Order: sequence, then structure tokens, then C-alpha cells
Amino acid sequence: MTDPAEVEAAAADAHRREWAAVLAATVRVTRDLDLAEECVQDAYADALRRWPTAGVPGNPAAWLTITARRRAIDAIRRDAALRARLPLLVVPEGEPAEPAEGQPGADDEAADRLSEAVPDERLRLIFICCHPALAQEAQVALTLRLVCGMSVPDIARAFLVSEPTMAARITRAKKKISVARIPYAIPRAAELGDRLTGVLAVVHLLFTAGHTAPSGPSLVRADLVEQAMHLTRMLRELMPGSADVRGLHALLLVTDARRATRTDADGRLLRLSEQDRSRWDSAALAEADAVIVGCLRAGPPGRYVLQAAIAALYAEAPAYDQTDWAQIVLLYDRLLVVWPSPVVALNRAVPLAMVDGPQAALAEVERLDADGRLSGYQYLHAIRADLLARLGRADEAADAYRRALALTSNDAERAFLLGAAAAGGSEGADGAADDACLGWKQLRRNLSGGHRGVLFGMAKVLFVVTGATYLVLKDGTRYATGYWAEEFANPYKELTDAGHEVVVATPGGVTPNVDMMSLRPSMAGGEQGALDLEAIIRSAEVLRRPLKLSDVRPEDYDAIYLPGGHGPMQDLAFDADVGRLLTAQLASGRPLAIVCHAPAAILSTRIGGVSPFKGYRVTCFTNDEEEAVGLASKTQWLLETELKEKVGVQFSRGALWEPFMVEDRNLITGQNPHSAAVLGERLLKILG
Amino acid sequence: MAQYAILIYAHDSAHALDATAEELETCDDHSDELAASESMLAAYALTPRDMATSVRADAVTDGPFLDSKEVVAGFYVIEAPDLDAALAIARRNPVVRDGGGVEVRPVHSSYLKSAAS
Repeated sequence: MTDPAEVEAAAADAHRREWAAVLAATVRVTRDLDLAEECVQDAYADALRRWPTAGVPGNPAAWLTITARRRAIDAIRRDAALRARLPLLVVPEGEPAEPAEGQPGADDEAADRLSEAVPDERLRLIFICCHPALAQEAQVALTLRLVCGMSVPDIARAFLVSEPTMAARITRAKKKISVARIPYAIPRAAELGDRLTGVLAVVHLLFTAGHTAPSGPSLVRADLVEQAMHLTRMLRELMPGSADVRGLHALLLVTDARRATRTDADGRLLRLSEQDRSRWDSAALAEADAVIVGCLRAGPPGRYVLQAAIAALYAEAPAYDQTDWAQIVLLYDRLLVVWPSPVVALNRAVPLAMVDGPQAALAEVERLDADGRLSGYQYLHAIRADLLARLGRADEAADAYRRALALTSNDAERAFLLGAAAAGGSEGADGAADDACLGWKQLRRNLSGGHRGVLFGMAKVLFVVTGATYLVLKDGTRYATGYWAEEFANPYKELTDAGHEVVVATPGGVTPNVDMMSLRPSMAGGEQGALDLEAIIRSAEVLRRPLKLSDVRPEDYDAIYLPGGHGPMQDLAFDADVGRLLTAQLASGRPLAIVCHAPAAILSTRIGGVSPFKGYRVTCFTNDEEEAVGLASKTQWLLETELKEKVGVQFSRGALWEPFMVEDRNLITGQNPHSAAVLGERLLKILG
Repeated sequence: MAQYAILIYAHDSAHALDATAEELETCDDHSDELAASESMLAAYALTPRDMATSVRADAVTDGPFLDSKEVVAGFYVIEAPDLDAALAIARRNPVVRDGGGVEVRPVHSSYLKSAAS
């Protein structure tokens, strides 16, 4: 008896490492992908059944291959009809060797010889899966299924499509392989370069999809990254001479070395300049570096090597501002030669600004803008805005930001971002790649989200509520808080009583916590007031079913409202999703109402230190009020001060604790808890 | 061996009724080459788009069926062992270097009336 856990581990290991080899060898017998797949699946099931008693064979891959091939031969013999109608895969040269007879386990040697005779079976599998006659999404799916052995439900989950959709996609691809006779072969030398480019694009896309997986279990995302790494290692083993394969491997290593630091504890995406370099995987970086140096010495570098070299230079700098910008610009120059893409040219502008100054970079970006191909690309406008801001041309910068933002809800742009993300959207561009990944996230969400039903005459209002349960004070203690009861309850009641729908969203979709103090009779205007607030909160079931902020699309709502409490100072003030949401809402012209401490969220809208809220007339919980509740000396920062200094708002205030509202264009802000009801009334009026 | 139809898409067909031998030279050369290699089973050059007439349930209209930049300028059928071989042949079509392109489709079935006497 062998330990079941050990058997399971051995089988899982064999699945991960050997699936492709076993399947490829079985296809030689069946000449049919479906039948081969079924037989291999069965062989793995056999292993789990038989290894506990017979022991794990010395060469599990060989055992599995023999078993799968025997099953295939049996199936074909048993069913002459099957043999007759097998849609034969085109296998160009040589008939498959019949596997040796005998007991599995005794066949290790025979199988070894067999696999030596055809060492590149897996390559055929990879090239057929990534054949350009198949749509790229089908190439990706087929590669995961056939080369990596990932199950259809897992693949469907990873790409946020339904299982039947994914199954149909794979079936369609297999059908085209047999009907159009896509050969099960390694391309001829003349075509090998182009075909390999296609394979590498699939692996890179897979990696990008995993590296930037937006939601769902984090496991699935790590799974895709690992499959991409696994495929790259397999390709390196199979095509040791290819510099492009080594280059891609280096690029993935460098990129993945930063995996742990790409988001903060709350899952917020961090820019390269914000990441903790000490936590990068130094072993992976060293391995990548060795590969890159080897490639650069070997001959004229290809696209992936150059991308990897750029990413490595960013990674090698001890700090962001010590990056070797000049060297990066030189590498971009080389990259543009082998990959003359306007996106690459745009990304080059970022290091160029560090070497030749923002003016030179701006000239470059404006030349690209005039070219027209990137005018629908939001990052061109975002980078332009950043450069303008650095040159002190604030008004033009604001315009450029608005152009960038206007493009975020545009489907064509999302599709472009998808392409850019797939094409690598070079890691070099200080977060531009990560930002591009946000676009990819949005795209995937849209693909899976479908349309919201239109509710006649009834508006849909999004309440963005803090998910924090405490605020960390100056001395490190955690001050218990959350959202403020009356700031949620009063507008909620006003809106829902009028027949409008309220939807709640929080960071990460956590259930929001009410600040206990806000339910005290002394705070809620007496015993009855407190009971009323409590009743409203109890009745508001939406509070217990919040959406994730990252899943929210502002265009789905007629208005957005943010209640306060001290919670927003802990989370919404540092949340990229809320920053994106408020920025888009402000640009959309639809009402945006924010009360009390919630204007802290405006701090998250800053990009490169500039917020689109700059110059807007606003109010918020004042420093005097903070002083009055005794927290002014304890909090790490003061909201009023930060909004003035970091955002540059035009601040105004009413009397202490009195309702006070400021309206500037579509932005409506309220000073304190009692202002919430006034904001609710105003929203009601605007929504009609 | 399998049969593939290769559809030629170009801005327009070079085969106007009054086309000169000179104008058709590259097409003819390619056709000769394919015929010599014995991979070509049949070939048809079509007249330009002005000659096209389209029929739909509700109307007969002047011009190609699809209102697009390119029209089908002709098509031919080849025999090839697999898709890659077919694509290699298709890629050699002169239209590919001339701003147009070709579409390769596996043939399901065919009929050709045998040439009478």
C-alpha cells in the first residue's frame, strides 16, 4: 500500500509536468484530439486507482503514456466504425510506433525509448494549438486544455465566460483543425519564426491575463501565471536555440518577480514608483538578468529580450528615481526598430522625460497624437497630461486628463487596451502597463456583465460606503468607526421613498460597519431618532449585499453618493477604484454628492499629484468640527487641510454642525452629518 | 490530399474584357506556375465589379453583393496535403503583394459538368 496522499501528489505532479507529453504521444495513435484527450484523462484516473496498491511507477509519465495509448488502441479496435470515421489529424511523416505490450510499469524502458525517438511531440501539440488559422482566444483556450491539461470549467472561470461557451469555443477550434486539415506538425523552417511569434504571443497573453486577473479566486489567477511559466520553460527545453523564447522567459521572470508588491494590503494597484523593492523576488531577477545578458551577447535582440531588458533596468535600480533612464531610452530605440508600434513609442516618452525633460517628451507625445493612430488611446492623453502638469501648464493638463477620462467608457478603446495588454504594453512605462491592465479588467468585466435593464422613471443611485471598521490614529491605536448612520439613512430613505433604487458598493465588497457612536441618542437627536435610524439601517438590505467597488461601472448609475463617518479616511482616501469612479463621474456630468468625511475619497483621484477636482468649490467636515469632537490632535491628517493642500479645492464652510451644502457644476458636497439630508433632497430634485 | 478553394480579394478584378496581355501578365504567370505544379484543379477569373449584379429576396441590384473595398476577383481550387501547404500556395498569389488578399476555404464537395465533346 502506498500512502494515498503520496499517490495523489505523484499524480498531480505528473499531471502538471507530463500532461502535454502523454497527450502528444497518444495523439500519434489516435490521430484524433478528442479521443486522445479522453484516453489521457482515463489514464490519469487509472493511475489514481492503481498506484495506491501497485505503487507509484518509477517513470509515471511512461506509465501514463502506455496506459493512455493502450486505451486508445482498444477503443479503435473495439469500434471499427470509430476508426472509419475518425477525422484524421494530418500527421506528416512516419506512422506512430505501436506501443509495447505488457503490464504497465514494466514498460518504462520501452516508453523511454519511445519518447527518445520522438522528442518533440509536445512541440507539435503547441504549434497546432497556436495555429494562426484559429482565433487567438481559441488558441489560448486550446493551449490551456491540450498542452496544460487544464479542465474546461477552470479555463472558463479564468476567462470569465460560461462553461458551455468555453466548451463550444474549444470544440469549434478542434473541428476547424480536422476540417481544414491543420497539420499536426512543426512548421517548416521558413515559417518557424512567424509561427513561433504566434505561440509566444499566446503564452504572453496567458501570462498577462493571469498577472492582471481582476477578480475571482486569486488561485485561478496564480494558476494562469504558473501555466504561462510552465509553457515557457517547456518551450525553452524544446527550443533551446531560440533567443525569442529565452527573451520571453526573462520578461516573464522579471514581471513576475514583482508579483507580491503590485498591490497593497487592500488590493489597490501600486505604481512602479510606489512598490517595495526589497520584497521583489531577487532570485528570479538574477535568473532573468543572466538570460538577458546571454541573449544580448548572442546577437541582435528581439522584442521580448528588449522588453525584458527594459523591465530589468527598472527593477535593478535601488530606487525609482535612481533608474538608468538613458539606458532605457536606448533600449526603447532598439525596441522600436524590431517592433515599430506607436504604443512602444508612447512608452518611450516616459523615460525620455527623465532624460531630456518633459518638454522633449511632450513634443514626442504630441507628434504621436498628430499621427492619429493613438488618438483613441487614453494613456496617450494621460501621459500628455502628466507632462503638461510637470511643465506647469495646468489648464491644458486638465483638458488632457478629461480627454483621457472621456475615453475610458469607450468600447473601442477597451478593445485597443486589450490588444495593448496582449501585446505587452511594456512594463517600462511606469505603471502605464498596469493601467493598461485596468483597461483589460474593465473589458473583461464588460464582456461578462451584460446590460443593465432600464427602469423607466426610476433612477439608480450608487452609494459608495466605507468598508473600514477603524481609523488608525497618530499613536497607532485603532479608533472604532465606520459609516455615519444618519448620513446613510436619511438620503437612503428620501431616495427609496421616492421610488428610486439604491445600490451599495464598498472596497472589496465587504459589509460596511456602522459607527456605533452615530446611533447614540445624543448624536441621533434623541431616543426616537436613534431608533428610527436603526430601523432604516435594518431595513436596508442592500447594505448587507454590497458590490465590489472594482466591479462598479459608473455609467450604470444616474447619480453617485458617498456618506461619511471616519471610515473613508481609512480606506476611500487611498483607493484606486474609488479614484477612477469619482473621476469618471465628475467628467460624466452626472450628479456626484459627497458628505462629511467622505470627500476624503477625492484624494484618491490624484494622478501624478494632479486631481480633476482641483479648483472645484467644495466643503467637508471642517478642522474645527474635528477639533470639537476631540480627534483633531489624534488623527494622522486633517481632511480639510489635505483637500486644500493636496487637491487644491476652493474650500468654503458653514457654521459648526449646521447643514451646509456647496454645489459646483455636477459636484455637490456637504459639510457634516446634518448636511446629508439636504444633499438627499437636492439629489431627489435633480433626479426628478 | 484535400481540396481548398482560394478566393482572391482585390480592389477590383484585373480581368476587364479589354484587358491587355500585359495587364494580365502577373496573373497568368501565377496561373501557369500553379498549373505546372499540378496542384491546381480549376481556376476562374471574374470580370470587374461593374459587371456584377446582386440578387436578394426583394431586389436585384447593380454591383457586388457586399459593399466593401474589396471584391472577389476570382477563385481557384487546389489540392494540398494540409492547410499549411494550401496557405503556402495561397500566399504566392500576386494579389497578396498588391494590396489585396486571399481567403482559403476547405472544399466540402464539388460538381463540374464534364466538357461536352
